[in-house]
Amino acid sequence: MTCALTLDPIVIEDTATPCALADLQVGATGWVRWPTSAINREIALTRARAELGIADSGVAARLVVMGVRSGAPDGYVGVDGESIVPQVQVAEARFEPGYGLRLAAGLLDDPWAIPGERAWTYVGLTTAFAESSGLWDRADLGLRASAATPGGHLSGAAAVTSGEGLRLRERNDGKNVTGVVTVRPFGDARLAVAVAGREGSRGIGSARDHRLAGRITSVGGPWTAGVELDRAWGLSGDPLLTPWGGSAWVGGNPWGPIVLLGRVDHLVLASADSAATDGWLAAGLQRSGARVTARGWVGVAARDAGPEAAPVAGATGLDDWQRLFVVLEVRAHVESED
Amino acid sequence: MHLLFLLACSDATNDRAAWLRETLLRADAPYWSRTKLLADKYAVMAAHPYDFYRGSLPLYLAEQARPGDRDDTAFLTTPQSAEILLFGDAHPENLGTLLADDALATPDALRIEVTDLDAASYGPWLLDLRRAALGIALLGDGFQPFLRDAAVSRLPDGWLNGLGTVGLDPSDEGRILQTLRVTASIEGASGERLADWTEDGRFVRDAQLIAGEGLIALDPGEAAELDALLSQGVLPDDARVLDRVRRYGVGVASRPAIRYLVLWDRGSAGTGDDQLVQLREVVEPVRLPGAWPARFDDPASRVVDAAAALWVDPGADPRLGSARVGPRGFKVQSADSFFQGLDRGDVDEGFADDLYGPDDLGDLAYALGYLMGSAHSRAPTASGADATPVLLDDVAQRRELLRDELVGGATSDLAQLYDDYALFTLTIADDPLLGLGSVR
Repeated sequence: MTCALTLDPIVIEDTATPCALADLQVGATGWVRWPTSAINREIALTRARAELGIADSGVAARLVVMGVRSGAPDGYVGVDGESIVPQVQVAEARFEPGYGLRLAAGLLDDPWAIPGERAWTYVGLTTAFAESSGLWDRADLGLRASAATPGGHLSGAAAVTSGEGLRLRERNDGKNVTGVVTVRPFGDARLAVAVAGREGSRGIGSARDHRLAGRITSVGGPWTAGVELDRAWGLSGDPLLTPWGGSAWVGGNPWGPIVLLGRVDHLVLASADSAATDGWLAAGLQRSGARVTARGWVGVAARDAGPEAAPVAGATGLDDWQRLFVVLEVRAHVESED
Repeated sequence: MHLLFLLACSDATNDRAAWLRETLLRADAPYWSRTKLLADKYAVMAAHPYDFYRGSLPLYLAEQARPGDRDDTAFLTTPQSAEILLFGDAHPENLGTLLADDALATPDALRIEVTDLDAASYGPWLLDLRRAALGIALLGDGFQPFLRDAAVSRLPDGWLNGLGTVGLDPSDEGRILQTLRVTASIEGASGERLADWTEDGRFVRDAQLIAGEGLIALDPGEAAELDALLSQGVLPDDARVLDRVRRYGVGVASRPAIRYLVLWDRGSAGTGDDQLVQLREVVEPVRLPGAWPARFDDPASRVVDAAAALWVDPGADPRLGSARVGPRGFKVQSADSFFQGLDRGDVDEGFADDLYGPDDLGDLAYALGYLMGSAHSRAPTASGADATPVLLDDVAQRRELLRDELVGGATSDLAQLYDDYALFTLTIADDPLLGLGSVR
């Protein structure tokens, strides 16, 4: 049995059994970029996440902390320089009254982005499309109710959230309402079809921030695969943008310790000239123990973007790049039952 | 006409208004706790389109980054073209006079530079020109469009001619800047600001702010902060501090920033050696699209380091420096009358009185472009490379194209600015803080 502390409602079988969970994910990457520019080689901490959770008698609490670079994303006024500091990403209080129903409050996993991340699996390389595209935040302050039918063939989640509570205090009266419905024909993760919708607003100006999305994933066999489509009305406080995009990926370890993966993302901010396509191809080695999984990767990543997707819209020389990267990631996961 | 346009397109207008509020307020987050000063800033921005232009740099930069109807640029063809050290906000009113040594206080001894380097950054060179072109177009908006465009077209001419040179010859400055030079020389020599602001070696304090402006006595917290700043060697070793005040109501974008004025001398009796220095808080500016981050230690150091690279004479302001108290950084600058910025009101007055005409605006554009071209090519790139070949490669044999692109871009940017200005004035008529009050 899995400790009843994940977002996915079908994982829960029995919340009455006391359990505790600790999960650590650490990943670092080094890359070389071309065409060459001012910073052509960089080493980055791509993952530093710690999760603790305790469940007992249908009540659970989770805390997730992730390391983030302090200061504005592109600035340099941070903490003790720009030190990596812990950011609370989940602080969840949960009550499970039974009948497959689960109620949660606090700083919560996004019900669309995080299941997508779990299906993507390879978070040491990059985040899943929903988050990496900027279309969804990975967490938000709010309330959530979720439920699953016995056997897990159908599940749903509805959340009412702040809209930008992961990083900012409440800034408008509007609340985001998100709904996700997932169908699993076999009652497990081998095949899942999910759709999501969000009616939202962002920022002091209450700019619209709506979403519609669909995803098909297969997890659990030797291969993990998925395809996702997202449509947005409003992005990052700009209600005039109506981007859409999608991602397709496949990865797995069909031959012992060898791991392979490929992923393509496509995001269109406005016109066709503002489309950007990002791709990853990687091969690696994996070693798994009872509680620890380690992977080492070597791969290439590339961006092919229209001029309107460049940092200065319409600049053709700033939009495309390729990278060669290496990644080392380790995940340690322990659960205990009293 | 703009208002009618806005009213006719209410849905799009509401969306644009939401984005405008969000973009401006997000950039002003360091000032959110100073609501009166922030409201004063927005009131100033609403008073004149040029002041809106000065205060809305974040909006302008966001517009440069967002996909839209703007034609693709023929420039910025290599990643290296986005590694140029930029002024960041090279608008005409940021042109000013500097004087390295007041013992040589003749007009010729003054140096004209882009003096406000708060937004200096390594980034795509074209952004500096586009921003300056909009400022010139705005100054010339009272002229026939073809005359305004002709003035704007002098900016790229100046920039191209400035590449690889060491500064601008005063004979090429044009009448507007020459007037500034002479005015600063005369008023500096006569100690006009000292006469206006001080009496018998003390600042003349205002009992209260009038229209947001004034020199106010320091409270104990401010006095302690200024003590800490002055202890960091911002004045010469033999300096004697005579008096200190807080200065309100200056600038537009940085209006809510804390400013201290210090009156000091070198110990002589009388007021003959009195001098003024200003310490002004510098917050992290909005990032230029495509800019390289983290090339300066902090926002205050940015100003000093950028001046060292962009000014012909890094010592053109002998008091230029930086100091810090906790996380707050301050830039230090001379504040005597030798150090004056170009004033849009003076230029407008010159146009109204027929002292200046479109050709003079063109000369101003040429001078601004020349200063930028000289500085862009002189400062090493973010990679430490020589910028001149990078820039020359990017514009190779396309002088006409650069001119056409900048003039066309300035025309469309000007129309957008007027639309946003109308929207802004409507918005702050409803809420002087653009909605910030409901957050706090």
